Amino acid sequence: MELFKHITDKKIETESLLAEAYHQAAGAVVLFLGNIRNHHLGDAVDQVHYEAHLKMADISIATILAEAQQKWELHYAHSVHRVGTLTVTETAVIVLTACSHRQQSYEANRYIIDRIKKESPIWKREALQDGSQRWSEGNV
Amino acid sequence: MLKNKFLKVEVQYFAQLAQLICSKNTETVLEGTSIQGFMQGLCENYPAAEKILKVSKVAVNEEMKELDYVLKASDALCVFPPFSGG
Repeated sequence: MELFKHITDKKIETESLLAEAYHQAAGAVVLFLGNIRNHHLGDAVDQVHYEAHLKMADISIATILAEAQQKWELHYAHSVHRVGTLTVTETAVIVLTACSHRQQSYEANRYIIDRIKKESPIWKREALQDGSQRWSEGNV
Repeated sequence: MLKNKFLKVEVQYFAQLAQLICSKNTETVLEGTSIQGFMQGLCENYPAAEKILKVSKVAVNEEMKELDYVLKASDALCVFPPFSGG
């Protein structure tokens, strides 16, 4: 896989990414993990497969981070989304924000994940426990 | 007598659209065709995909475009169903 800063087909290494978010001026570091859960819409889920337009998704996330960084004067903002097949409890996306105060750090983090879900060309297909598969209807 | 001119564009479908639309990568369209016209043609040719196509977005040469964008020769289109990352 071509190298992208915000898209990976490898396991997301939460601890090492969190360590990068520490900043001398940041009193609040917020970490969001989007993990695979074992249920959706009342059905038992085994796995989730993510695919993306890799280059455009990478640029989209970078743009969202830059806009959040400017809007909240963040000391640090980073996000990585995984593609490929993930099993229950694995992390699909991480968002880190570091700011002087917690309110801005929380708000910015929520803003980033909401926009990634809505604007980044990434799709998920669930493999259900009954053997069927379905694409997420997504954010229209 | 005026002759219709045609041009070729590359098209890539993603997620469920890649399964619903079994199409070649290159499409021939009439000169002056907009994204809206192109998508209407897809809806007619692939009625099973119509519901998703109507809420899909199109990128041209890796930039999101509006429906009124007029296709040019060699444009590379990506047809995106609603995003569902996260």
